[in-house]
Amino acid sequence: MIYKVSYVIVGEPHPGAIVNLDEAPKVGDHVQLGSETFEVVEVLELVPPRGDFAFLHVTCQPVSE
Amino acid sequence: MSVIELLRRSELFADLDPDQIGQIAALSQTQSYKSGDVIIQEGEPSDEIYIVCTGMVEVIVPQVSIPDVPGASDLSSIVRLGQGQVFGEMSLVDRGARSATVRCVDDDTTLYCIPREDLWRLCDGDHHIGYALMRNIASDLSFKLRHRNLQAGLRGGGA
Repeated sequence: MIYKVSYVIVGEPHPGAIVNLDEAPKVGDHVQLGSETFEVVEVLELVPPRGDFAFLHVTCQPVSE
Repeated sequence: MSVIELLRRSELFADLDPDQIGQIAALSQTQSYKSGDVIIQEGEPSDEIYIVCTGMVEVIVPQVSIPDVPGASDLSSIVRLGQGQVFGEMSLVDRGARSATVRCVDDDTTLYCIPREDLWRLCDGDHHIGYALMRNIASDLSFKLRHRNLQAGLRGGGA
């Protein structure tokens, strides 16, 4: 399965990102989008899967130091 | 990652068999960019679609027109696109000018570029490729719109 992920960012102005992944993100994961790192706080199915693709909506927040 | 492997992992080419993906791969060219490089510019003619192989790009659109300054505007980044994502696909559908500027935000970004007219010829010659490609473009544009709605909702300006 290929996971097409829509990342949206809370807590700072950021446009979010769309990326394909081999594994589904999990709450608590750290993800790097360009030069910035974020923490996953929620993972939801955005639309039903089709063929080899699953479509996820992932909410992230800046990593607290 | 080979171009065939990348295309196989991109939603735009879902439901195509290995031979059909091979035909599309034969049309593609590799391009490399560094952070800050502008790949396509809003308003310019559009002749290619792009698939992100490595690195990341951002899509930028004018946000607010500035009164009394013709042509001036604030620019807003609306989404970043990573591996497997496509941009420039609107030109494949409507042949219009570029609707946004796309800029590289990651060093060592590699893209595969496919000339629009070559892809159209392939679609015209094999209607299964054409049907799959058009359906997948519709799905990709829908996904991007959902992403933008979710992001705008967080900012209090949901569509």
